[in-house]
This record gives sequence, structure tokens and C-alpha cells, in this order.
Amino acid sequence: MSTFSGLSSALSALYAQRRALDITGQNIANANTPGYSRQRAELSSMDNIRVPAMYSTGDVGPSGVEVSSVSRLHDEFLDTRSRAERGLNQYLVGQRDTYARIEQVINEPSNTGVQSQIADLWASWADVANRPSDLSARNVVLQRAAAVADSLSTAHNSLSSLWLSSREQLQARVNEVNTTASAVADYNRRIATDSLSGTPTNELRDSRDELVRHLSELTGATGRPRDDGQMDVYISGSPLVSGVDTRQLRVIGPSDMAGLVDPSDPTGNTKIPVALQWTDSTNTAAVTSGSIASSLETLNKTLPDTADGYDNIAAQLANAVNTQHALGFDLSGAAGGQFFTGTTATTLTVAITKPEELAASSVPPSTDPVTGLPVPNLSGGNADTLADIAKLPNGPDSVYRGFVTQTGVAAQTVNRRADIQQTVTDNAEADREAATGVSLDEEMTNMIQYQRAYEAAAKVMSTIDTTLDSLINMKR
Amino acid sequence: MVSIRVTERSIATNVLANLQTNIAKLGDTQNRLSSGKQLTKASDAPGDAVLAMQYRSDMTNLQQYSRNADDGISWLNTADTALTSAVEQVNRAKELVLSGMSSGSGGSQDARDAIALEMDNIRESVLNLANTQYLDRPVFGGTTTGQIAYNDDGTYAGDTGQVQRTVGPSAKIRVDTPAEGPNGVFGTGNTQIFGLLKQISDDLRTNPANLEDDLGKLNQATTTMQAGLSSVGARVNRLTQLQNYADSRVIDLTNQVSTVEDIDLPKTITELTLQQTAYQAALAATAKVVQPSLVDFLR
Repeated sequence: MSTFSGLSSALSALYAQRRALDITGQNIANANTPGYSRQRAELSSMDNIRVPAMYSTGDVGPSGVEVSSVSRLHDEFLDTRSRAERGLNQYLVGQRDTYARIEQVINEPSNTGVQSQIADLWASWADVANRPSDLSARNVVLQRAAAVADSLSTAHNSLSSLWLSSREQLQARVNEVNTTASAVADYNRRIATDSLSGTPTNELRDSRDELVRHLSELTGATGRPRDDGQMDVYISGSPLVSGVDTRQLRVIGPSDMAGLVDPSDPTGNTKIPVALQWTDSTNTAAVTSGSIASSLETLNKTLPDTADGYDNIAAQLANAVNTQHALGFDLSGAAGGQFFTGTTATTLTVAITKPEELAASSVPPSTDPVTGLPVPNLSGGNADTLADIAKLPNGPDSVYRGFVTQTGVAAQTVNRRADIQQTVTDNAEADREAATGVSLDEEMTNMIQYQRAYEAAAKVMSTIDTTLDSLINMKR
Repeated sequence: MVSIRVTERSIATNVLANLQTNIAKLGDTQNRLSSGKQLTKASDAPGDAVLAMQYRSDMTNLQQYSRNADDGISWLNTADTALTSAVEQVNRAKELVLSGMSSGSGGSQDARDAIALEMDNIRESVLNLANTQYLDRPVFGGTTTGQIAYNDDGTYAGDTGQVQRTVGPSAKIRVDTPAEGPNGVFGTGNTQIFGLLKQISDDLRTNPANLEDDLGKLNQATTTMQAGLSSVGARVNRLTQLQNYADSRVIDLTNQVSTVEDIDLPKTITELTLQQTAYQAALAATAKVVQPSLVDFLR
């Protein structure tokens, strides 16, 4: 044992505790950095190099301490869970937003919605039944029917423009996925190089993991770490980032809501959905979670289904009114013509322009015995029957109410699921923060530990110094 | 040491989530309180929303029934007034026939001529009453597009169409009064009132012996008119009853819509107070709990 070995071991302790204090400082500095994983200086005692040999025995003691590594305390399981929950959360948040907008378009129950406009239309038919000869009452019917048609068309157009903005949003999100994936690959490259050269990569990994979490929020992507610290990212099993390589996504499909229906199929049942495609192949990418999945669901199902609901109401309304109207006779005694043209929400228009042509009478005109001309009458029977469409069990009113309820139930379900998922996500996030985040109490405790150890090591050094001093001054 | 680790950020995440939940509830309650509605969109309560929509459309229907009844009652009242006057006129005609008869075949032809003249006036005025209009339509003319129910010669100018008013889900009430035909108030064939009055006037002038027979027919015509009159009254009663029913249903439905859509004020205010207290407590607790750390107790 060398005379000065105690000094060097005390020095190594001073170094090591200083380094540990630095790490503590780094942890405290990043206590509020999102995605930061706390770090720990791994201390290990240093042995003297002893090669067993015949003459190398002797009193060889330990020679201090060293920081063997700086580890990143990070739980891959909690990270994976947090990513999955965030993806699902973003999906449900997206769906909730979509339904909130749809409910704004529907605007029921209210005194101004489609329901009350249709009810007003039936009431105006009843007024015509009361006063078949009154042209102003007949005009009111035409105006109110036009108002109903306008409302249906406005609602449908609002859904169309909602579709367009959702499509733009999807495009922006896909661009974000592509740039984020490139950034992840970039981090992977730097992590791989730095690992080789032995430089710590903890901060790089934290930033990279934060980006992967963002990718999960967008697409529900999963991450799979490699042994060398790089991370592969998969979307439904297809690689998005593989080490330093990335693949890109693009949006394919129609650019407006009408384009969803395949024009080559006359029945209109074949759909061309909006989808994501890998740019390096013709394969579509299946995205089942995250805000992009929500965008796709909104574009391919939620909005078109709601728009179809309006079309269905328009068709029912046109059919119910036209059928009954054709059974009646107008003011000149002619049979009732087509009241509405068009069978979709956007094409529904009132075909009758003259109030006289409303077929209010249910009694066919008699024939004048002298002139042979038809003699019209002022029966209001058909107008009365038209007003009674309001009460038909499967009439347009009931279909519309069913549509509103159906959308309401769907919205309620999504809202509840989103609330629950928010709690689950918050919990997963809190768990992750608890496991990997910085606890100031802990850092303070560590700080005291390291400080005391530093002080003690300094004390050791000064004690050895005093000892040596005594030794050197012995000859006096 | 195997315990769940807690860090400042994990506490902050949880606390923030809880505060968010609290203030979201508070905001929701305040929103309901200020709008006065607990049901503003279908997803708030889909079952209640469909009820509210159903109630509203029922209300529109019932209000329309009430309007229909108003119209029907006016229509019938017009007929009622016209018929009452017509019956008075016919009664006067009976008196005249009697006085024409009492003067006998030996009576003075001059007197009978004078009576015949009055009889002609009565016929004219009954004809006018029969052509009474409501909103430009003759109330005894069925569904005719013309302006009159009877021509000057006493022939019927209307048709046999019926005018009905819907005043309930399955209640359609006829509001016109059939004038011509077997059930017509003005009779048919040789008891048709205009023909009969003309006949009486002719008989007064030329054939007083036939007056007794005429009186019998006139009595018959009066009975028919009175029967028509009581039918009109009965229908007015029915319309009034149904209108009252529709009006009271509208009030009921307004209450029901309010029950479904509007907030319970005391309950909501209590909820608001409770939530405010909860939120303030959460804030106070957060301020106390999150603040201290070991830093405060060192040195």
C-alpha cells in the first residue's frame, strides 16, 4: 500500500460526489421538462489492479470510487402503455369534436330546427284546408316548403364544408407524421453514433421518445426499442421508422364528400374511402387509433352517414308529400302535380310555383253539363290529409326524430367514452411521470447525501494531510 | 423500498386533471343556469330530446286544431245566424198564410194580393239568407267556387261537397250545412222552401183553396230548418269542447316541454354552490399540498 494511496482515493471520492451533484443539478433543472427521465450517477468502488502472481501479493487496498455510468431511469412498459392510451384518447377526442360540430348543425331540440319548420309546413297545409280559395294561405305553404328544403340543404352543405376542413386537417396531420418520423430517424442516427463513441445519449432518447409519443397520438403507432438504443416505430405492424430509415404516408381518395360514392356503380353502394397509403408501395396503411384514425372515421363514416340521414329525410318528405299531393285536385280542377322535385337534401326544391296549383281538393271536379268543362270545387280534404302527414307513424317527422336521436345517442356514447379515456390517459401519464419524473424531495435527499460525502472525503483528505504532516515532521 | 414513487409532476398531472374536472362541471352548471336549459343538444339526453321534439310537434298540431276550430265555429255561427233569421221569416210566412186562409175564399182578393206581395219579399230575404257568405264562400253552397248557393229562381247553385275541419287526431267535423237534397235545411222537391214560397205566393193570388195544403208543407219545411239549426248548435258545442281540450293540452305540453328541457332552479343553484365550494376547496388544497418540498425545510 502506497503512502499516498489514501489521498488519491479521497480525490476520486471528491470527483465522484461532484459528478453526482452535477447529475442532481441536471435533474432539478429538468424537473418540469416534459418527457425528461431522471438520471442517476451509478457509483462503484474502484479496486486496485491486482494480477495474481507470485510476487504481487501484498497489502493492496481499495482505491476509491468512480462514476461507472449515468443511467436513465425509464420504464419501457409504462411508456408503451402511455403511448397506447394517448393514441386512443386522441381518437376519442377527435370523435367528440366531430359530434359536437354535427350537433351544432342539427340544432335540436329548438324552436328553429328542421323539426319545427316541418311542423309549420303541416300547419300551413291545415290553413289551406280551412281556406282553399285563399291564395295567401296557399303561398304560405310554398314559402314554408321552400324553407324546409333550404334548411335541409343548408345542413347538408354545412356537413360538406365540415368534411372539407376535416380533409385538410387530415392532410396536415399526415404531413406532421412524415416530418416527425424523419425527426425520429434523425435522433436514432445520432443515438447510434453517440452510443458507439460512448457519449451519453439520455437526453437524445428523451427527446426521441417524446416524438414517438406524438406519433402515437397521431396514428396510434407503437415503438419497439433496439438493443443499441434506437427505436423502431410501427403503424399496425408496418414499419414507419426502422432504425435510421423512414417511410412516408400520403392521403388518397376523394377530395370532396360527393366523391365518396363510386360513380361506376349505378346503385351507389360502392364507396371510395379516404385512406392512407405508403408512398413506396400501393399498400394502404391501416390506422386504427390516434387523431388520424378519428379523421378517417369522420371522413368515411360519421359525416357521410349524417349527410345520408338528411338525404333520407328529404326523400321521405318528397315521397310523402308528392304521393298525397298527386291524389288531389287544384283550384282549376286539374290533378295535383309533383310538389317537390329531387330526392336528396341538396336537390330538394319546391316544383310548384303558382299557389293555384296546390292540390287542396280531394273531390274530383264535376263536368259542366252545358260546356263540358270541368267544374272545380273548394274542398280542402287533400290539404287536410297532407297536414295529417305530421302524425304518420313512419312519416318524415318520425324519421327525422329517429335520426336526431340516433345521432344524439352516438354523440353521448362517444362523450362518455372520451371522458373515461381521459381519466385513464391521465392516470397512465401520472404513472409514467411518477416512475420516470424528477422528485424534488428525492433530489434534495441525494444532494445532502452527496454533499455530506463530499465533505467527509475532504475531511479524509485533510486528515491524511495532517497524518502525513505528523510523519514528515517526526524528525524534528 | 418498494412503494409507489410520487413526483412533483405526477402530483401536478393528477391535481391538474382533478381541477379541470371540477371547473368543467362548474362551467357546465353555470352554463345551464344562465341558459335556463338542461337539454340543449340531443346528446345531453337522447330520450328526453326525442320527447321534447315530439311535444313540440304535438303542440304545433294542437295549436292548429284550435285555429281550425275557431274557423269552424265562425263558419257554423254564420250558418246559425242565417238559419235563425230564416226560421223567423218562415214563421212570419206561416202567419201570413193563416191570415190569407182565414179571409177564406170569400175574402178580399186585394188583401190576398197584398199578402202575396209580402210573401214575395219573405222569399227574397230567405234567399238572401241562404246565400250568406263566410270569407267569400256561401255557407250553404258546399264546396262550390261560386259566390252564391241559390240562384234567383230558387235552384241550387252549390254542390254536395263537404267542408270539414280537423280539430283532433281523429276528429273531423263538418262545418258546412247541407242545404239541398234529402237532408238539406232548405228542403227538397215540393217542400223546397223557395219553390214553396213561390207556390204560396201564386196560390194567394190565384188559388186560395190550395193554401191549406201549402201550410202543411210550410210546417214540414220549418221542421227541417229547425232540425238543421239544432244540428248546427250541436256541432258548435262539439267544436268548442274539442277546442277547449286542444287548448288545455297545449298548456299541458308546454309544461311537459319545460319539465324536460328547463332546469330545476333550486336544484341547479344548490349544485352550483356545492361545486363552487368543491372547486375552492380543491384550489386551497392544491396551493397547500403542492407548494412545500424538502427545499423549504433545508438549511
